Amino acid sequence: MRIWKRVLYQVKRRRFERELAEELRIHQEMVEDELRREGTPEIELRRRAHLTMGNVTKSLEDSRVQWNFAWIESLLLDIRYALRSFRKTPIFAATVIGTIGLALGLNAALFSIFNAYVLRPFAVRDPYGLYQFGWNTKGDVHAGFTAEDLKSARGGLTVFSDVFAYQNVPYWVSADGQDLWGAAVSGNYFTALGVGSALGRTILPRDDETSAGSAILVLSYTAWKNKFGAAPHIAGKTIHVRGHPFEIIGVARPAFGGLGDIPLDFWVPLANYHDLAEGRDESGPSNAGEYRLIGSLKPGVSLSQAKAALRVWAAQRTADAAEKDRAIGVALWPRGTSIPFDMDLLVSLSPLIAAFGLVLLIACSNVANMMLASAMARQREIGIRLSLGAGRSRLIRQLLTESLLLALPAAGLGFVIAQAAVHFGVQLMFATTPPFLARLLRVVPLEPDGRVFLFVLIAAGCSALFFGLAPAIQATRPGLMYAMRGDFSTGLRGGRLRNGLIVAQVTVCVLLLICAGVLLRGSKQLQTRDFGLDTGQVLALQVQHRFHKQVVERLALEPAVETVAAAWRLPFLDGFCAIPVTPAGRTDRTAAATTVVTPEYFSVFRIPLVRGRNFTAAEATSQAHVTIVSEATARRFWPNQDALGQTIRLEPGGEDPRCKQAPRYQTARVIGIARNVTSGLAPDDDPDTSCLYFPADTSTSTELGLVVRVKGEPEAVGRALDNSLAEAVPGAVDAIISMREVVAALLYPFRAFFWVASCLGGLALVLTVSGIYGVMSYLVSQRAKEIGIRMALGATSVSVISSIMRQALRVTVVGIAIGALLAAAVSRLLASVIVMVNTFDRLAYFGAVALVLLAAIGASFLPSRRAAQIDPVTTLRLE
Amino acid sequence: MLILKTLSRGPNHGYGIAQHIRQVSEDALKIGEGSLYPALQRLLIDDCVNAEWGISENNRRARFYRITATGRKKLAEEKKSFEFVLAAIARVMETP
Repeated sequence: MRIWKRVLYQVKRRRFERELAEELRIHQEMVEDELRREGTPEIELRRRAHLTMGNVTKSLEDSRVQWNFAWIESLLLDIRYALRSFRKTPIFAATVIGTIGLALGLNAALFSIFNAYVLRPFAVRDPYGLYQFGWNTKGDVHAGFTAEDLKSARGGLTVFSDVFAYQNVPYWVSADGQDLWGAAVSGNYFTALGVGSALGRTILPRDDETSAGSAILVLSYTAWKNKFGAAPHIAGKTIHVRGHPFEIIGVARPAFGGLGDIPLDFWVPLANYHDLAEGRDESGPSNAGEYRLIGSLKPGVSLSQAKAALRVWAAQRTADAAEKDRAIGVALWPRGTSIPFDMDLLVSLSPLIAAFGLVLLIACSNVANMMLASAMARQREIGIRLSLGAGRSRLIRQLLTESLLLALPAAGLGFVIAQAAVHFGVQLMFATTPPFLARLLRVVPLEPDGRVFLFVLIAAGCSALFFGLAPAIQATRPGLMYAMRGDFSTGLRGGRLRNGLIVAQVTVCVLLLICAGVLLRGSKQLQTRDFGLDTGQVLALQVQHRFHKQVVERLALEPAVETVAAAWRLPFLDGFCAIPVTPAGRTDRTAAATTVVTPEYFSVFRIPLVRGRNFTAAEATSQAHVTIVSEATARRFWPNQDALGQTIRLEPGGEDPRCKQAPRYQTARVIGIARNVTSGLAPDDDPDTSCLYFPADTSTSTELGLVVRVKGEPEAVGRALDNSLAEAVPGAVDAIISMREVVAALLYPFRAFFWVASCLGGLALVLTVSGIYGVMSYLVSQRAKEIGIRMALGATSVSVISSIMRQALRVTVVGIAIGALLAAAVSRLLASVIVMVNTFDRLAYFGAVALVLLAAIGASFLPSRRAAQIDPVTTLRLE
Repeated sequence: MLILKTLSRGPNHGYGIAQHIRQVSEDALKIGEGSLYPALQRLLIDDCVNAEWGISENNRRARFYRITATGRKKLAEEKKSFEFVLAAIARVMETP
């Protein structure tokens, strides 16, 4: 009804407005009548009537507003007006759009990645209903299940419409020369997820009964396209995965890559799992179950209902178990997206989010300053409009409309930039990671979607409010009286806001540059870091255990191979395994990192034995009860004593299932002391450098990883070795990795973060410099009259330059101080996120501060020189 | 509320409404045109009053506003809530 009336008003609007005006005129006449009755002289009537009536135009306007869809109308007017003013100053508009667009683009790129991993659900049926489940025991979480558990869950858990299982193959596997990631899944996996096939068929429930004889495999669409050349008749072909023949039965639907953060290349039935994981599987399918169970919640079933049902089921399953294995609680993990969204994730991402957000902040404050300057330049126009009866809120709204109109194309630009940045970033990542890692990298599809677009729009809106609101409020502040008098240049109005914005920019800039500097120094330190072993000429071979002997024999024949060694845990690739021990002469049990190595290990990695001797061949073959300890271990176990000749008692009861290859004997005698080796990014005093080495040899222990020292360029030798081994022992080698690349891969995150931080810091610096330059230029043009007078009164150009520069530098120094303090404060936070980096690196701090200071001097010098060139006569004549 | 109350005594024009409120409140309440006319437009939209052109007491053309049934209902409601608030304020003020 009301809307109808308003619409009617729009139709007959001219009449309505005439009537309203008429009404007010009559009102005025009545007022005049009364005044006349009171005996006011005729000549005074008009004026007095006006006085009583007030601003008639405004009353008219206000009354009209009641009827209108007023905001639409004024919005249209504002938009028309804004577009007209942009046409007049296209460079201004383009600069604003470009600056904001760039910063928005970077943030949107970050959000695209976040969106792809955390927010976008998998392309499966009802992704938000998918929950992985397990139960808690005393002090542990039980999430690995057996086939028996799966059967019972499918039958007993009616809160789920279906329960399926999967087990990721823990490493990549090589299949006919391709490195592939895969998983073994239960037969109902694809049907429960509603994922069909693009070619052939997917794994079906009946495949659960498949015997190991007929191994089948489903490829992902991406793998089929990228790794197998989208061969149209691939279904029915056989490929060899780790030497085992698998029949490809089909290709899964596009856009499906499993339910993890690494998109998978293939799936096999659970029955075929042991073919893929042989030797690699640390607990083995015969051991405790390793199936992950995922249930698809029935529609309408709440989480608490599901939990209650799970509790009953878990209690049933563990009723006969030992006390410590009994379920005392249940756990449900949402599995609808690659990475579940929670507080921990947000906290660990916060430095990144902050860095990107700060760049947007700088861009906004830069633009805010530009808007402020332009608004001040438009003071005359604003003053006139105020004196003609424009309401202040109306003017602010108009200025804000202008900001929003600038933000809208900036959002579009940002969206495009984000797409390009993500694409470029991924390319760059693949190009710069060590080759062995690049072959294994899988990235989920990062295409922006509606969420990214919405994010850009909202971010653009917020930016517009930020860079538009403050200048708008500031610019419409002048009192009517000043405007009437035509005095629009009252000093440094808006100065405090302007200075505040510059301080904020400098602060953020210093902060980002310090971070970049710290990361650079950190990665430089790590690159030159002595890990205690020489990886330069060493290759690690991932070999299947059943081919171990053949490979070792074959390697001995290769001319490029200098030494062959084997180790249970390889440095950098496998973490060392801690077992409980008691050193002689002490009563307390302690944990010590342990590995089993062949005598050649020390020469392959060039680990010097500081004292004592190496294992002999006989000791290695018989697995004698001797051990070599690292210096750190010797110091830790027997401080101020000679470790040589001491014994260590190996305690039973190592809980870690990965430690099952640890020596089984009771005591071992120390025969040598090796130099410390850091197998990773732990600090020097970390127990990681403490290690016990036990003897083995390559022929008897087939479950060890192989390392060889080669002659020549290791990567090329590695390729040659791969070829000749593939010929001699087909399917035996999964991968040959140069240890040099492994170390490079270890350092890669630091380099990547350094580049991101320096790009952001560089951008911040450019924005800050242009911001300072802009403000100083504006101030100089504002103060032209004053400077002219000073010069006329005898000020030298040096004193003019120094006065302007002093003004700029005062603000900069404040910003630098705040920035450095903030950096020191957040470095505490960073220190907890990034290991092995000295977050208080003095050089990084000084470098960043000096850089920003120099940049600020440079940015303010040009405007101040322009000020010094002001010709007093010309300026004064202009007035 | 004041406008509706004035109109409940009979149709009147804008000037008359302003005069009436001023006189009755003995100059304590003065409604300026700046708020009177916008308020009248609001009431028109809300169907609380309707308007037609007529001739005023001293033979001028004027727009007369007349209260409608909806308007009376609204007046009653507002009066009730006003009295409620007034009473509440009075109680607070009179509590020693």
